[in-house]
Amino acid sequence: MIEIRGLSKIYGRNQVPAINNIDLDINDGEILGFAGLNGAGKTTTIRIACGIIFPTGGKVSVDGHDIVKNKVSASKNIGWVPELPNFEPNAKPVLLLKYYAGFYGIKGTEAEDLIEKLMKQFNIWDARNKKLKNYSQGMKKRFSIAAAMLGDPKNYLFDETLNGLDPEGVKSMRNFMLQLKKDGKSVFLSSHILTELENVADRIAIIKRGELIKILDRDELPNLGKSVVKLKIENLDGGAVAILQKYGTPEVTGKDVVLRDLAFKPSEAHIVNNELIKSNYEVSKFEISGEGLEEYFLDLVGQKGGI
Amino acid sequence: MSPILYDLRRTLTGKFTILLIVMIVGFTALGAHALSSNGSGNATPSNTYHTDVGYYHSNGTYHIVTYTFDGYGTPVKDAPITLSLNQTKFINGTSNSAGFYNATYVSNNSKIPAVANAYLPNASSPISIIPGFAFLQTNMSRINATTSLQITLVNQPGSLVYKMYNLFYVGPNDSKSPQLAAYYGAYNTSRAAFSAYPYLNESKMTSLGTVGGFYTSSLKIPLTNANQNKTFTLGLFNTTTGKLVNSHPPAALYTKISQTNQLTIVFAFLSGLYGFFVPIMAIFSSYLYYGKDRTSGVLESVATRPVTKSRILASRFVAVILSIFIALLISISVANILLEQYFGQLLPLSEILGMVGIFLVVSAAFAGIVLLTSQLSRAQGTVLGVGIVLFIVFDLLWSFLILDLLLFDVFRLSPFSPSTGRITAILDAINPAGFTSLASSLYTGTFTGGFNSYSASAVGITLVSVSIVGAIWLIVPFAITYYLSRTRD
Repeated sequence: MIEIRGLSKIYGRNQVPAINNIDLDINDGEILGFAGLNGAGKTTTIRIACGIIFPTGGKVSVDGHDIVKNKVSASKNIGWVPELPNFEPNAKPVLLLKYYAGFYGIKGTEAEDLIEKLMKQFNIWDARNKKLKNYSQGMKKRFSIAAAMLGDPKNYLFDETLNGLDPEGVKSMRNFMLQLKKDGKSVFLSSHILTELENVADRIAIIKRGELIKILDRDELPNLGKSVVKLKIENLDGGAVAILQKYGTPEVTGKDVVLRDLAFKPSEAHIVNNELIKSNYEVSKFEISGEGLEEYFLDLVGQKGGI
Repeated sequence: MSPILYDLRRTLTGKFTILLIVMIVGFTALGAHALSSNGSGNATPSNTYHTDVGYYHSNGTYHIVTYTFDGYGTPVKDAPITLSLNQTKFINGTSNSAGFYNATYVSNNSKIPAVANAYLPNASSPISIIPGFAFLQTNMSRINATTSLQITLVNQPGSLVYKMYNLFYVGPNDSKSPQLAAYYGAYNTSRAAFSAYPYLNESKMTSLGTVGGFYTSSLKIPLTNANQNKTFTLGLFNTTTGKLVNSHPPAALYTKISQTNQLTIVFAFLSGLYGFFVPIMAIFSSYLYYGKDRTSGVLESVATRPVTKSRILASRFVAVILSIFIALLISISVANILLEQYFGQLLPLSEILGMVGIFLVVSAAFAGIVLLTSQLSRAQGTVLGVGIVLFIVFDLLWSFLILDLLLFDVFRLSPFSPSTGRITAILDAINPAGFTSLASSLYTGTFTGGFNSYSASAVGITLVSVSIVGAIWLIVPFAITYYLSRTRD
């Protein structure tokens, strides 16, 4: 479990905080999605939680160990996978993993066996004799995951790890994270791909300009934000649009219409349907729902209508 | 694998480290070879010249032959030779590539010319010339009325301590020497000090075999450590009659150099070499194996492991210093072995480790500053640039910038004033490369600052002050970096 309390980071004098007073728990057996625009503070939060950089204020506890004051104990239970893994370019993968394994006290044949198992698990065993500079970005990412798993940590932090992966890679990462969750690990996943967060996350934390502005539970996802009416009108024309404009703001795509900014209560939505039918319009789909995570997210971070 | 072992292995097997170690060992070996061949300083065998003279008299003409050679018995060409009679010079010439000069003088009386030498024209001064037999008439060693044989003690090639005999024969009509039986006698110093050396008798001496058929030749007596306190005589006997032809008076053939002198020469030689290579290795190793990793982000994948950043820093620093230690230990040991023949003895391990320690202080200082720069800057170019500037300023241009420009030109200090010596010593203390000069001065007791030499203690160079300076350079840059690694990103 990772507990983040009052976490702040200011990179330089006279600069606005990269993150400000963040409070967050990543529980065991949970996947916590972390969403935010570029520069919102996701990577800063993760880098502090991993012990790469120091916080300006607040603290991060990893299974009760302060990542600053008790770095060695805390890091034993941290597995970090960055967006763009960066290793010694001339290192041989097995040797480098042995080096990393040494920090966990794993040595000799135990280390060799574990490294072989992990490299096979992530399909890079065949490339074990290549220098890391000759690995593709995807291979480096898989190597990075293998490296993160060396000490069998209880907590994993994935920083935009899904970026740059092909659909198969995304799928296998999704399954991998779900397996981690099943194994009781805590997973902190930052991503721009909100649909993936929706797919795997138990909760999603949204960060904007360094401040945590919302934490959503999984069961909140289907009904996020303002209600909209989604319709499909087979004989859609200007008259139908004029009717809809009385009840809200219609967005037309072919025969599909999304009616936003409703001028009625969602429970009274049948009035719209009735008027359309009376006017001889053939309504083949009529449903009331939330905006969806993406719209909701963009609403929250104030970037709707383009970044 | 233990992380420190990995860091050490990575540093030691890096291409740059291997290249530097090969260069350091190689240049040290070449330098040691050159040192043993050419000596160090002006008063060494290769810069000491001898001229032996011989002649034969035939049909009213003296045929005079001179042979000029250096302290190793190597022929010297272009040595000016002057013949004079009654202090009037009348023949001038120079030795040929074999060291010989031939002249004739027509005279039927017994007055024959004297020979004098001048300084070699093209050699750097001062050159010590040891005249041969200046007056042929009185000092010539003769086999018979018409021939002469000279025996001169010279150093064995490539040795400062082992000596041998150089033979020079002049016979009638340029004939070569007859066969001679060579014998030597070893004496305790007290007995060999007798003005007459009493044991020039084949039966009481040890045979060296026969020599003959030469104009010049050399004879070596087998020397061991037991010969250090002995003197030797050499006797050359007619192989037919057994009669003594010529001899060399008692002389020490193996004179041990003091360890202080040996260390001073070796340290001076190594300082020039390592003063260049050690800072380069320290600067670039600490950049390549820490600074570059840190600035490029490679170190982050290590920093997320169960280890503190300060521990990573310490591990890399130790690996860099250990790799330099190994390079120094190998190269100084190689030099020591190569120079054994020259000095007649090996430097003890304690002296070698002392020298290694001095250069390690220098390397720790330079490495520490580069690590500190890596801690303060995230730009690779800045870190590398600072390292290069450090090397140029502290190592290459320090004397020019600080002495010539600052002290003499800007502050108008006299190069000969005592205060210049003290200020130069202080400036050496604030220069990481200057520690070798301070340590060397502490050992020799002499410090050169400006154009003068001073007593080391007179300019503040004492065991305490040098130890403090060394400790500061060894510890402080790294300690500051270590502290920053615990508090700064």
